[in-house]
Amino acid sequence: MRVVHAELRKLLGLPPAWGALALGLVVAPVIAYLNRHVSSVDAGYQEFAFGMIGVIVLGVVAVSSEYRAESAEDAGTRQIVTSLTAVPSRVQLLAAKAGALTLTVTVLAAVTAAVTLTVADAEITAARVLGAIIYWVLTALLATGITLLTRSGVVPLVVLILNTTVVSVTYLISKVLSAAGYFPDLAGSRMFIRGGHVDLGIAPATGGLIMCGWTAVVVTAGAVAFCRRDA
Amino acid sequence: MTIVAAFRAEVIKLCTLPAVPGTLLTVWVASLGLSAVPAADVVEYAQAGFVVLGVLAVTSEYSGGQVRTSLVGVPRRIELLTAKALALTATSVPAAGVVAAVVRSVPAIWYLTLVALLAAGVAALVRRTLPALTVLLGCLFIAVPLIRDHAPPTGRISAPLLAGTLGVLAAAVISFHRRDA
Repeated sequence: MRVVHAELRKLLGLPPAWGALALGLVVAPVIAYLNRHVSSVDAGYQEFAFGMIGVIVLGVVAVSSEYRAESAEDAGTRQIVTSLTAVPSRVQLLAAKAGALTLTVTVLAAVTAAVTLTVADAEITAARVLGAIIYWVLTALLATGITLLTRSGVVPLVVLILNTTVVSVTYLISKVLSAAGYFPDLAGSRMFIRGGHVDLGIAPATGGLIMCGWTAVVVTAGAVAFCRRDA
Repeated sequence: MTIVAAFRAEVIKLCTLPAVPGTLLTVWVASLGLSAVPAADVVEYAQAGFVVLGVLAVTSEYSGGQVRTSLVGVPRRIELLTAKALALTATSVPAAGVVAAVVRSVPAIWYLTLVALLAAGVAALVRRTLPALTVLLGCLFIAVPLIRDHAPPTGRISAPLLAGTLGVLAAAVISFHRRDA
């Protein structure tokens, strides 16, 4: 518990994390406001899915900040060495990091979902809102998992932000290859998107499980790399 | 050092960053792959690679204090920035040419090069990789498509993009000239 608390303080002590929280809080409601005259079954929920950029940044900086404190003067400062001195068990450190991230993103997602759905005047059902929140949390963890593998934020940022656009890469692939509907973002979005352009007939719960599976695989791969490599 | 020598030095610095050939190869392969998908806007996605290229060209100077060595070599700051911008253009034009060949559209070259220069300008103002990337990707992939949906249609190379790039580059020149390195 103390380690989770420490990780939470580390995460919320990062200026980029505050930027990410602000982005997360603002983007989805603004898109929802601009699209308020477009009526669809997914009004509000679709906009919530587009507003993920802040969550992606949070997931990335939670890890990448350990490897490079990005400031002109402290190049080579690797906080990870200090972190591992304090918490030598790597699994414990990662678990605490994931816990702190999950906590932060859950609160952010709940607040943003409330604002976005109110702005969009959407029909609020507990299951869909819960699905939307889980979607954000899993996306953040996915970003963390990729960053654990790459150690630098560039690749996960580009790949994941590219995929939050209206016409996402996975959506394009799904037009050629229907199995692409099982990509984490498309499958996971079934938790709260009812209409939408990709519909393989994946039930909300199944979609959530598929995305959980992807996240588990990526985070595990990241964790294995983190435990085996030199810090 | 003349501007020609500075330009050569900048080209060598840019092309020997391991991330640069990696980024360009990824962009080319991804563009080829996406061009097989009907109705895919290949240039739209390829621009992400040019954002990375432009950002790396600048922030690589700041991750280890290399900028101070560079300024010892080329003490005139505007000359250094000009050489950097020229080197980025010289790298970006052939790289974008490959993408343009894939989509069979020459203007794509100018658009992608413009994006790389815009990215370099933003990176010179922010000096850090991740914030610069987030701002640029957020603008190009979230804000711009949204504005496009609510504004009269224009070509990809539009007046606001040109004005924005020039404005950012001017701001970058002024800030690089005045700030401590």
